[in-house]
Amino acid sequence: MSFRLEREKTKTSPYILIDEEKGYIRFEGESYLEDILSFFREINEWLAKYLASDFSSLTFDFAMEYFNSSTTKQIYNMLRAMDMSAAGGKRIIVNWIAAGDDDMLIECSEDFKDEMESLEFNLVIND
Amino acid sequence: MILDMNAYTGMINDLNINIIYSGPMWADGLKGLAEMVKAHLEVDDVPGNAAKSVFSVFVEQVTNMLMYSAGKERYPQPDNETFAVSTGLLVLGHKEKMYFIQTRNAIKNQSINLIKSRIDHLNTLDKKELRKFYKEQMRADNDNPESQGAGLGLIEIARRATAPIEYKFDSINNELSHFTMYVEIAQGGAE
Repeated sequence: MSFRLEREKTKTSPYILIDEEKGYIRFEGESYLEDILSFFREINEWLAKYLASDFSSLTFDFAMEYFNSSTTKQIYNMLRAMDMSAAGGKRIIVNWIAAGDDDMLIECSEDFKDEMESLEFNLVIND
Repeated sequence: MILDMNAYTGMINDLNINIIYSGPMWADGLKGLAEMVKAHLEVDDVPGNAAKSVFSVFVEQVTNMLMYSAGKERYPQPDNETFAVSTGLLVLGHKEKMYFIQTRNAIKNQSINLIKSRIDHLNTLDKKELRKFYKEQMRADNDNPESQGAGLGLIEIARRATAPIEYKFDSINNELSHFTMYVEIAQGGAE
């Protein structure tokens, strides 16, 4: 059975969808919860297993509006793991979805994109 | 008996304070305070990017208080977790188009030099250098579970601030001091 995880968003934690069958991840909303490590534990465990498996592709739609610095670190670690897998020949697409006037989000996407060497990183302006 | 709050409200007006909170700080309590700050920024019609900067500084400052406050008390919970409560003071206000956030919490005296050197260093960097430093810290592996953001929070505050971060330490006793931090965020960004 393929893995599926769907978490509703709260005021301080994002909506999460992981659909292994479709090779699809979506994050949406805001993240500034205190215990960020346990929030991401299950996600990271799944991601490590998935990236080590013989998958055909992975698409990550990242549509978050606000996330604090400890979430930034988690997102960075996820993207870096994906990038290493992409360097090994896997097809990985990250769509960073942001409003056109959101300077903070766009700047952050540029910084993440700079760090990635192999995965496909698209900034998608959504107004 | 009705309390006479005139001196207090007078001071709040004189100092341009919109929100003041003094007391216990815990993770769930942050949510309520965050909602209040958001509502305030909305009512005040603060433009999107400035509102986000103010909110971001607020979150990182409160997170720092929650994580590093020396006055933290821990209460064991049935699920083996601990419930940690810090005590702090938070003030948010604005003068025309400039917002400020001031926090105060107790820290151990042995942390003074580290905090001081970190803030002094950040204050010497311009926005471009801060962005670069943030990226370097994001990349750096950090095994210290107590520091979930690898010091990113303080750099984030410096990135959003439009004036140098101000701070002071007031001694409480041989072990502890009050650490006060003041951050300004002007609408329209840094000059």
